[in-house]
Amino acid sequence: MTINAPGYLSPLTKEQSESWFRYLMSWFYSGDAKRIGIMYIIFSAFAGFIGMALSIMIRAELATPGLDLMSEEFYMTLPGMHASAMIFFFVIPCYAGFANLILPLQVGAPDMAFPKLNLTAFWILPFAGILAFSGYFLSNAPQFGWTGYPPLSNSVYSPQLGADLWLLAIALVGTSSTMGSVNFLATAFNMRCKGMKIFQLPLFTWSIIVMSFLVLVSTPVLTSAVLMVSLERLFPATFYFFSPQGGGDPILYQHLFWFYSHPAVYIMILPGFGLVNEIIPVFSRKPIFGYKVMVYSMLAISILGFVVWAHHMFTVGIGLNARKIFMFLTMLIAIPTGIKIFSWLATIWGGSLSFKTPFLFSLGFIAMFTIGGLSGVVLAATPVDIQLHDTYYVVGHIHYVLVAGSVMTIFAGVYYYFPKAFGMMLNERLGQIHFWGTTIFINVTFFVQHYLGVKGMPRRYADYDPEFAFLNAVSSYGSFFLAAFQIVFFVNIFYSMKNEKRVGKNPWVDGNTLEWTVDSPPDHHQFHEPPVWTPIERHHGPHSPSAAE
Amino acid sequence: MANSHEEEKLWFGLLNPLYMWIWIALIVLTIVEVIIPEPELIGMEPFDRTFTVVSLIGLALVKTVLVAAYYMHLVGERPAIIPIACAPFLFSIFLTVGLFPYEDDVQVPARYQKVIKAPAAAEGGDDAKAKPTSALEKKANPANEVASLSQPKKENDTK
Amino acid sequence: MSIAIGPGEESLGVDNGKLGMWTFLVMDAMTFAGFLAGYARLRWKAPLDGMGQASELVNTVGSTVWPNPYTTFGVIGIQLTAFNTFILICSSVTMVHVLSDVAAGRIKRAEKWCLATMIGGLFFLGIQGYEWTHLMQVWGFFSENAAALPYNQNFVATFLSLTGFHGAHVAVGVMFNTILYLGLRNGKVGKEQYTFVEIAGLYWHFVDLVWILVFTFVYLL
Repeated sequence: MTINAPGYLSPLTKEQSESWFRYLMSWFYSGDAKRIGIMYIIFSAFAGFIGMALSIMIRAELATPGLDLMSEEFYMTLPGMHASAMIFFFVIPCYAGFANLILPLQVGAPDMAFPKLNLTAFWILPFAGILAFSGYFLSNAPQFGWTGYPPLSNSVYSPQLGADLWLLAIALVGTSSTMGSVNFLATAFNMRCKGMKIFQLPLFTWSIIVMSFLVLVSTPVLTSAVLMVSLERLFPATFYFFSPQGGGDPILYQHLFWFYSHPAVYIMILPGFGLVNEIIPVFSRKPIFGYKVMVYSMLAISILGFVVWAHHMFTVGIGLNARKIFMFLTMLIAIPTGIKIFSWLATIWGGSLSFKTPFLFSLGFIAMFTIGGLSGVVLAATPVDIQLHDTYYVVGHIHYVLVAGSVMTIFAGVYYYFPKAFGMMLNERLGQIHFWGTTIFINVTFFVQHYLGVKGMPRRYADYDPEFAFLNAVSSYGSFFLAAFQIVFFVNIFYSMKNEKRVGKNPWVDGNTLEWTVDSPPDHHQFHEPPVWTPIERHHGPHSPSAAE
Repeated sequence: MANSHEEEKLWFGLLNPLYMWIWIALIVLTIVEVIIPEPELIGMEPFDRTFTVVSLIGLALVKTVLVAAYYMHLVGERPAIIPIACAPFLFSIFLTVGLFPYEDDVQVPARYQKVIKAPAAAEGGDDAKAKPTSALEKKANPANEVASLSQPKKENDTK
Repeated sequence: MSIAIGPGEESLGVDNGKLGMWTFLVMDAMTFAGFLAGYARLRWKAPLDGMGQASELVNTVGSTVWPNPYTTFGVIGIQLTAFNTFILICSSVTMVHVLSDVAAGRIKRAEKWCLATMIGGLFFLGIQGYEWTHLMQVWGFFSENAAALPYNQNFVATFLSLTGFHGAHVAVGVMFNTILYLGLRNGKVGKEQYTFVEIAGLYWHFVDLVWILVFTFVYLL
């Protein structure tokens, strides 16, 4: 038996080509960024599956009023674990995977700057995942949601062992993603090929730079908050940071937590913006509109993202003037985001469009993310937020941003980069079915939640007023179909792997960044000779036909 | 790269005598820092609390800058490193200013006060944690929040 | 098959490792910023002891006065910690001498400076350990009656977390310097590897820099 695979998938030695075990081990110990990227994406697919299963449980319980499937205690664990699975183990690692796969190729580097650090960063994640979810198998999973607000999360009100392990896992995930970010920044800044000046970098690389910077600055603050909660839980008589009975300040935790978790929203969407930035010009066959403005608006989002966090805390009693300032700054973020949306539309405008699956996902992303962004502006207004805080409106908003934003761009990226990663196309017809099913049922599932929230249905409860029964049923059945349509995606992957349709260097024809100049899949150290990037003159004049190539 | 290495090595040699001067400066500043909160040590009157806080933070920042600039070689570093090194200062200022416990200084018009007071009395101590020390601190610091936003480091002085 | 990973054609002009260390320090500084900002907020709410004008402000639930380091610690407090600061500053200056000697090729001298740096770090840790044990005995930190301390509970939490987290950094720095010292002795770190020395130095000076801030905020203010 021999293992035959092209490019970086090929076994490096003869022993590896003869034994699956050795071949697998060569992946597990590999410092190759592309292999690590694939491992990231596979891990995040598992985590995404777990998160989806948890969300299906939530929606199944909420399909009808009353407690019919599970106990309240069990239900209370679900929203938090669903959120941590999706945020910490699905979206963030998935983008890290894309970055590992694509970023060194795009900047023309042979590999990441610190391959061993890269591998370490990856291998922390599965163990952190096991720790985070071991609560379900040991005593009890944490019931305080993904925010973990003390005093609810301290040892008096949440004595579960699972909660301690969950906190530890969050600190580990933070460590892992900061390790990854150090690596991305060093690679993107320091390992560029000839001609790749800083304002020639492809926009996906730019988005990873901005994301890494956000991770570096915000994640440690969460780590410090989590360490404080852990100390408070482990030495309850000595450490009082947050519990009021020791003079602590619960609001302090919320400040520290949201100082991370608001930028985390941008950590979870900026690489998606980057992927869309790559996809739209290729399928519109036009250069991206306003390259520099795109870069500056990403930078503006990242800076502004650090000074708006208290809009999550409008109801906890911070001063009115402080709330006004935070409200103003929050609304300000809509401007750079709007600039990006309009730049994408201007890129599409007048283009010679080819409606392949990645492009469809990008278009769906633009349409639905705009809804999520606008409901965010609604929530940013302090008086409205006081009314809508902790209702299903917020749930609807965050899912329009994260499902219609991050998940749609992840699918767009998978369809777009699958030929580069494995050297074969995904089936177009199945892809389109997947796209239409996903898009329609995202709207069915989450749009009604806005209405539920405005009517006053609170989040995180296992039961609700029977008045909300119909719309909850709509949302639940929508989510079941949404999950069912993801099966099409996996069928597509297996189908396409079976009917290999080999592709050349540039399967989408119009790709013009460096990753499309190497074989699909790329070789172990991608470039056979040092690549040279021909700088692009970016201007706003009429485009000549040759510029579209 | 070889060229730049040679340059940098020369440059370390030039800095060498400076290292000891910086060291002396740091030690002198530390001694000043220890004396400021307790001037009785050298037979001086105690300083005003505001002066103590401001000068101590200022001295700490000066020492920080000295260490970063000369021991971490930021003075001769490539310009690209300097914004990276300064970023955490900027963002920790954002953090500290943002999580400052601002008080609600809303002036409720007299005609609404009756309406608002009744439910507030009924709630009682429920939101005691949300509004700590409002009355006391307002007495101590009547300046509004916009003023305190611009001067974050004065947080301890009114105590 | 092996390709040396180093700066590309276009780069910031620094070594990969140095850039990595700087970006890591950004992250580490923000961790301290989280602790220090938490300290600032908790401290702001608590009245200060021994300063006269503030002692009547016993305000929030369970929030008693913040201990004054001079009157509370006695000799264990400022004087000892100021000496500790002095030691850390000295070990910082020895560390830059390691770098300049390695860059000049004087490995033997660099070795001695490196040993001095390690000893400085260990001395610092020892004094801090003495301080912690002293506080545990006198105040009963970590014990059952810790809640009955006459001072603000937040002080105990922020003091232990800030100095403990910084102490952990010093311990890591000592390990880093030990590796460097062994490398210098075995000839693994020579004139050509001076970037490694510089990276170790960056970390060590950062620990020193953070201590300047922690010392000011926790002990002096």
